[in-house]
Amino acid sequence: MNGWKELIRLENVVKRFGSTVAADRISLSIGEGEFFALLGPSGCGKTTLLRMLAGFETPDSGMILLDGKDLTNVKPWRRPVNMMFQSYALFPHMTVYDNIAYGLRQEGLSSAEIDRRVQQVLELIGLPELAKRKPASLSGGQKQRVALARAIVKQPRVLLLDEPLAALDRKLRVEMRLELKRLQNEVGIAFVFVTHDQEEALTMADRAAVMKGGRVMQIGTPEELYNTPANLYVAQFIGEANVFSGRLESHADDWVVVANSNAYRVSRAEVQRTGLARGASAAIVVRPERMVIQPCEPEQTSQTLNRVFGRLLETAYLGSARTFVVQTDDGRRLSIQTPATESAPALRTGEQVCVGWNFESGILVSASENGNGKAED
Amino acid sequence: MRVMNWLRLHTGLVYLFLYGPILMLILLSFNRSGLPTAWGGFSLHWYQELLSNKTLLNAALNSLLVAGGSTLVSAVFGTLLAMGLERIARNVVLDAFVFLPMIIPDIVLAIALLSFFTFIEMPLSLLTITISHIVFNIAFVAAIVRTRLSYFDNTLEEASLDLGAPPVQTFFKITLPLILPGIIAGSLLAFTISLDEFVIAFFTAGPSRPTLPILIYSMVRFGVTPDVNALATIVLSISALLILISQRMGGSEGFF
Repeated sequence: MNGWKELIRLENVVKRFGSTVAADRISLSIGEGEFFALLGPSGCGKTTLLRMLAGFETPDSGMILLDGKDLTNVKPWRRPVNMMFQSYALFPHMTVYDNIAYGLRQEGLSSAEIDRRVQQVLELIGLPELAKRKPASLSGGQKQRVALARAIVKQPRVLLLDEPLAALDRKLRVEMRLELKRLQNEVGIAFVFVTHDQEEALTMADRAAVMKGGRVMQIGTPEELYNTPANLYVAQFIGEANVFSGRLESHADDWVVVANSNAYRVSRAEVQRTGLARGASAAIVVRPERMVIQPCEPEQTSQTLNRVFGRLLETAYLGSARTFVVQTDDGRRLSIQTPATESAPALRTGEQVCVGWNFESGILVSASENGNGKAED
Repeated sequence: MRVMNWLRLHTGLVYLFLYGPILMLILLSFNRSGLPTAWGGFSLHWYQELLSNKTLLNAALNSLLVAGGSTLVSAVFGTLLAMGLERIARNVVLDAFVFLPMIIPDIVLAIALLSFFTFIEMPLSLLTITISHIVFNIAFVAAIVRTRLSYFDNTLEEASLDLGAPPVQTFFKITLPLILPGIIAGSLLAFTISLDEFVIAFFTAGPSRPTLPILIYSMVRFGVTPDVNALATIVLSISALLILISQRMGGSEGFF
């Protein structure tokens, strides 16, 4: 985040469609040259937010600023912002060349300048030989690159991408993640992309906003979202999570979450970080790779290890790792991942097992809907 | 198998019923003798006769003026209407009322229009026929353009706006080229219908300048003459050609 400089600022942006609130007092900043993700399930308002940045929707209230200038009511064709559409929206009656040149021709540039820039961007996406083809004769991946080229050739301050990889098959999607990242580095334009795929957001974005029901639940780097989720929703949306929710209590100097009459220890650092008070409704989140699994030795106790007993339901070998699904005695399902190289004890499905985690790797989150345990309307 | 044979025979007979008279008319137009009962050998005589008939040529010109004028106006307003219905209204009742002129009996529409022109004291002329034809032609153009518009991807317009083209430019550079096949198809159909429309033209025509169908009607009152056969054959060929082109362009895939 060195040299981070604000490019876009949203202030209390509200947008309603009938009775649904697509954007509920959204405030956030996006930096220059940043790769920013709007992440959330369908209907969370992420696409509406993108469309407001493009100018296709106008906020009911609130402001959108770019370089400190109010952009809220500027028409789409006057914004230094371009969009790559999910369906690509390539003009079917024009060649690839004309598609890319379309935006430049609106700027009234000389044809020599247009030609130079179109050729340059065709080189950049690696498809100079396709200039004379019509979109209908391109493959999905090629269409995607042309759509991207058409948007970046205008050298916008911000490039908006609506589910940029959704229409591609899985293998291509994974390749294009790196490709997009490379392109973004090369052109140095801020990218704001919408996705429902948390893996995509984590691998590509510098920072992401996790959204739900028109609200931003948390904004942070992928590491922050994964390691210090602001609430249970984010914890469960980003990556896999084993959740133990209950009430936060303290015994002497130790903090525990009491869930199903079991107490699980949680570090004081976590309590301080979240600012949760005694008696708050809270949850401990443990990532599968932070858990250990072993055959049961009931007498063994530990100060640092939280332990749960259960029965092994499934186990799978993934090459680099091994995963386990355990049904605990109090009815929850836990998933555990261990490195496959470890000489793990042979566990059979149906066997009683003991699952545990070091209390310091448990993440404490508020279990109330609105995060951080603070009362909100 | 037996049923299939019967069906085959039936189909053949129906086609003969449908197209027999028309085939006969075309054949007779090339008949040198000019008599419907005797074949006098192949000849283009009656077509030559047509070309020297001033009254007929004038009527043909009148028909072209009416069809051309009403088609041009309908193409513009029908297209705009289709866009309005597709984008703004999306209302079943409005939809039904737009397409009503296509199915209202001609005679009803004719009487209504005649009363209307009388009411506003507009003298009957080629102009009144043209206006009358616009009434149903708008509906035909709108219907066909709407089909084309329903395949139109609205994000293409958004993409154009996003790339810096204001709405008017976006319409002319993106929307219009993409729905043009529909507009052309609708216009050709409108032109064809207008060209041989009789009932409404008959009611709204002035005394001095008849359209082709009106003239033919007045000619056949004294029996079908062979030159009318020739004329009918020409009109038929033009209509068939236009409809064929119209159908090829109206499809969802169009040019591209």
